[in-house]
Amino acid sequence: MTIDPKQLRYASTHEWVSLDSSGIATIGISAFAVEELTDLVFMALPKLGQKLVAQQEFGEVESVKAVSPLYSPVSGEVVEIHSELVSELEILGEDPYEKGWLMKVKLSDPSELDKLMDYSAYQKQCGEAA
Amino acid sequence: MRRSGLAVLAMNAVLWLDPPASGSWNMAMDQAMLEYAASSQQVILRIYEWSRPTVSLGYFQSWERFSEQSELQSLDVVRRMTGGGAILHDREWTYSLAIPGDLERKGHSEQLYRSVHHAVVAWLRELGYAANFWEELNQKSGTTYLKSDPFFCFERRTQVDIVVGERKIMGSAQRRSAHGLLQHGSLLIDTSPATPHLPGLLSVDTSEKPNHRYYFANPARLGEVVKIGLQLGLNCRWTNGKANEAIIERAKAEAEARFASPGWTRSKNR
Repeated sequence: MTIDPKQLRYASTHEWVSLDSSGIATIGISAFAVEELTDLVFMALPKLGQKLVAQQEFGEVESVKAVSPLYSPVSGEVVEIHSELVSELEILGEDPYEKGWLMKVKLSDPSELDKLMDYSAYQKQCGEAA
Repeated sequence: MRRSGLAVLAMNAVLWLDPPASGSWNMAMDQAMLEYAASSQQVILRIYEWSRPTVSLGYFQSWERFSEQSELQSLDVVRRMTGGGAILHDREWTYSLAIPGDLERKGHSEQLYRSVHHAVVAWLRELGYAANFWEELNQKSGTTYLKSDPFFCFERRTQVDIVVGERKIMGSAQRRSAHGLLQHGSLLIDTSPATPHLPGLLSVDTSEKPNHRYYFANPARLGEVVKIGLQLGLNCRWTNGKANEAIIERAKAEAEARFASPGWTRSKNR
């Protein structure tokens, strides 16, 4: 699977979503977020089968000193976890889109994707925050 | 990750000087303080002490690692909401800082570390201590940067930690949440009998400094220094205050539900 950052949908909280043809969403955090967090040391991801609610916390990430929540951009059930990522967080810095995905979710409300930003709008948000 | 807004206008800011309390109460009060800072849109700086020597574990630190520290097993232990390594709160000063969510923005967390620590370095230098950011020493000596494996906060090094000589004597840790940013910090004043390998400020530099043991008996001094540091990064209008009844009730609920619970304290198995 090839993931083009320009084709993704983004939450204002810096998580990205890629929807495949079977209705499964792959979720990760953006390169901007990874750069902001710096020196990641630990990540807690949800359990398989866990039900997620859009805009609610689904996990946490610790950089050298700060603990930050991760917010789900969509609602649905977790169907796959990128469990290797937890012990190899440097992957996120190298490739936050293809190799650094966090989890896959079966959407319960696909219309929520329409509320997310496209690449252009997300880039604008990042530019304003910089 | 959640970010928004810019600090443009002067912020109301309050300093709380709290009496010694248990670890679970201190952590619960910090959480209640953060929520109140968000709802009231003000910065709150809290200086507090611990009624007994207490170990605070970083949010993700494993309980197993604590269990391996035989010299700590007779002490109280609590888990913080902030990251970083374990701290033995004995002969040290603690501050907590709550920044409302709307003030969170790019680079703000780094800015907060630097602003607060910059003021502490300047203050310690005025008092005659050879204080530096770790990054300054690191650049000069080429010493290897230590990743976050050691159990104790004061055994770890990040770039903006404060060292005297090569000994770390102050570090801070943060937590971001929907309410805003919570920052904890600890200044190690003297060496605890339980951790003789972690010398405090008064042990690191034993050169003649009249009355320093008396001077460092008053943690309110740290509040004044942190306030100066925050003025570098935030435009604050300071007053003194204390938690109201609603905040205290919220802290009671947090202490009971979370911070005094062994389930919470032992929850992480990283």
